[in-house]
Amino acid sequence: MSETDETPAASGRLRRALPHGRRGRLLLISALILVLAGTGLGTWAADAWPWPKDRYCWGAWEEGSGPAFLGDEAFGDDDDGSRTGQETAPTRERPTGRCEVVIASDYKSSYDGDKVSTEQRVSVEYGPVPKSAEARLEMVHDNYLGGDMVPLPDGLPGTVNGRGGLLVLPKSCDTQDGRPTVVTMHASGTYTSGPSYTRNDPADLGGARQAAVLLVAAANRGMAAAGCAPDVPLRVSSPLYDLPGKPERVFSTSDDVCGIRGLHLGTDDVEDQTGAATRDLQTCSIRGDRDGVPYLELAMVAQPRLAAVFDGITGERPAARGWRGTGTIGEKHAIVRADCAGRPATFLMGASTDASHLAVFANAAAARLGCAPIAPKGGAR
Amino acid sequence: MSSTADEPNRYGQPLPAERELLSERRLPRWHWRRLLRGRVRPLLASGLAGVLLGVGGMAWQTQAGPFAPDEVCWGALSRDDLAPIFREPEDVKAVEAPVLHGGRSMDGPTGSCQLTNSDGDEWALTARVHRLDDRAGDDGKWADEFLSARLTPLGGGLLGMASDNRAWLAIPDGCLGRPGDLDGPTVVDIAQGSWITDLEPRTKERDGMARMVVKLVNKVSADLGCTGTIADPGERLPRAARYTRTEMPDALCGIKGLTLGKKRKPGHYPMITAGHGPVRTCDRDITGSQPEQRLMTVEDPRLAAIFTRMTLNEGDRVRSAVGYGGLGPNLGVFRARCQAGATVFLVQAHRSGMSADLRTLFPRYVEAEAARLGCGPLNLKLPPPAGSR
Repeated sequence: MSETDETPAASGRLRRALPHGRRGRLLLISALILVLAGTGLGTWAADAWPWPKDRYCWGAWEEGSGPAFLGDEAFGDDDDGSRTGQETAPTRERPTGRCEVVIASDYKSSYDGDKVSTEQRVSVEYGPVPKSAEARLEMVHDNYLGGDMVPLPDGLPGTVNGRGGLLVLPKSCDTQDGRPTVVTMHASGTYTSGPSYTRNDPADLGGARQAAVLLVAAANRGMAAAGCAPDVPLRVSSPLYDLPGKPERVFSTSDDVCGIRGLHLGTDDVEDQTGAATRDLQTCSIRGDRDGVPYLELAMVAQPRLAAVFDGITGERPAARGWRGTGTIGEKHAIVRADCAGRPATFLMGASTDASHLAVFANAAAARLGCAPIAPKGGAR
Repeated sequence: MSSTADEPNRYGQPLPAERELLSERRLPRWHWRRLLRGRVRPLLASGLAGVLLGVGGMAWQTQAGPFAPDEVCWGALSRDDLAPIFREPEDVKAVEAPVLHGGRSMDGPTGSCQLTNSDGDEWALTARVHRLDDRAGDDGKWADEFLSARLTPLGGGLLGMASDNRAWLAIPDGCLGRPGDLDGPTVVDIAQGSWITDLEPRTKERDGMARMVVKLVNKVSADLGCTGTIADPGERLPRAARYTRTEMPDALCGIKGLTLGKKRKPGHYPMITAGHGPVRTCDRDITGSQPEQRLMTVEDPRLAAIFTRMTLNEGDRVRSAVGYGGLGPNLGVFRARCQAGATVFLVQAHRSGMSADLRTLFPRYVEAEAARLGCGPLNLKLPPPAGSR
């Protein structure tokens, strides 16, 4: 049946269906206008306006899609706060990118009438890990392997908490010299009230699981732009099963920290926090109990893809005399990699230069994993 | 597409078959066209159609009448899910108490659901949502049943275990928050019949129980407003626990160096938790109302919290630089902090005349297990024996 055969009949049908008189046509048109106006009003009232919503971070995040910083609640009492996005997408030729959502609002506090201004920021960075050992350890260990982070759900290589996270991308996104590409996300912000009061008030990512969803969505868009996306996009489907342990006060200077016999810092102004203690990942942070200043940061990474971010910076010689594997003990960070229970395990220390802390930690973690001690007895003293 | 009925067929094609029927004179009495003739009847008909649509839609929306869901236990389990447990899943009746989680409740969400075959035989299965804590006052009955060596850890980082007649799984931390030091986790557990039997658990039924408890947790979490679905654990589960027939007198419960210094073997083979999980339990002679002997290490700090009261109150004080505990005539319990957090070591003997053995075994067990977990050395100072005071 060809469609052209039908057209004359159909148009004739339409003509006959329309009202003939002037009055009839007027009635029809006014009815149409009424219906359109009604629908418009309805969608406006139901906040279902059909215009496209704003999207951020290479199109990964949609305005009003869940987390507070993408919704109207981000503006507080300000009716005309602003949300602006800035982005540079990675490309095949230059596989680094960055995007940022900034929320700014100014309003008079309904509580005490003070002028309140807030600025909140969520930034995502896409790119290979830095070449230099010190820069890489600072970026990965200091920011994303603390005791307040937990592993990403569904076995994705990376960590997350309510303020951000890190995801190591698949091998297809590695640089030519073999460095993995990572996507990191970080929420920050300030709240200023009156002339003198300012505090940190990071953008609300909607909890650690929502943060993982945001991170993975941005990573998928970034990989697509850089031309290294896997066939099946990365996905978060499981709940976030574990949360970090609560920070625990250290009551006396000789108390053990991180549940490790013989690991003490000689101070009781600290608390420690364990984020994970599995066969794949172990994290523990010792920080000042008042100011959160890091005293000692310890981590063990054995999950292969997460450990790959440390490839090439563990050196060729033992960290010190008598240590297993290879490693370097640097100014601000130390790293040791050795075989443990059938696969390489990477032991990290930050915020301290005392190699004996790393020795005690690595040996305890090795005992837990069921492998030989990493450091010689008596540590590296 | 055919053109309207009253238009002549312009191309002289043979008339479609239904065209004949459309000529009105030959319509049967109850033809729909006849019913729609006149002024009132179309109105009536459309009214009726509207009512039918409305009622149907309403029933569908509120899941009533023919649209009522056939899922049981808070809508979590389909009849197919019951098949591994009940011989006639279609006939299973459910009595449910909804999962309540009020803002005023200090006890976390609670709810229960009992499934029975309609012929009322003994095949009842009870599912509960409740928070474990050390105040429940069930004399450790939950731990006796649900931490028994018959249960296999669900693996994949889950805080849960399953056997062929018991299973439990904690609601994700990400849903209710991480429990505090004195509260245990909120769990869904399922129980069917008596837990105690000297038979080794059947792997197929164990898998069915594991699947069921995961489905229940997923539904309860979703109803609590949490996102994410825990994947089916079926594939990764190891074989169900078996009796360890190769136990040596110098490695009781498979722990090297753990010995009573006797050459003779204990009277029964032990059963040891299969695979790595929140607990490592070694049960001996699980036939009475309790295992005759249990040596257990609770490795997950969230679960260790349910032993807080026992650790503080039971027996005479056991001292150590890095933990605390107690030793009584048939129970030794000690708590220390290991790398993962609070860890509880427990040795129970449920037969009289075992206290000397217990006194020998307890410090050795704690020492060996602490070394395995990388939180040694732990040296316990035992209280003086009861007879010496």
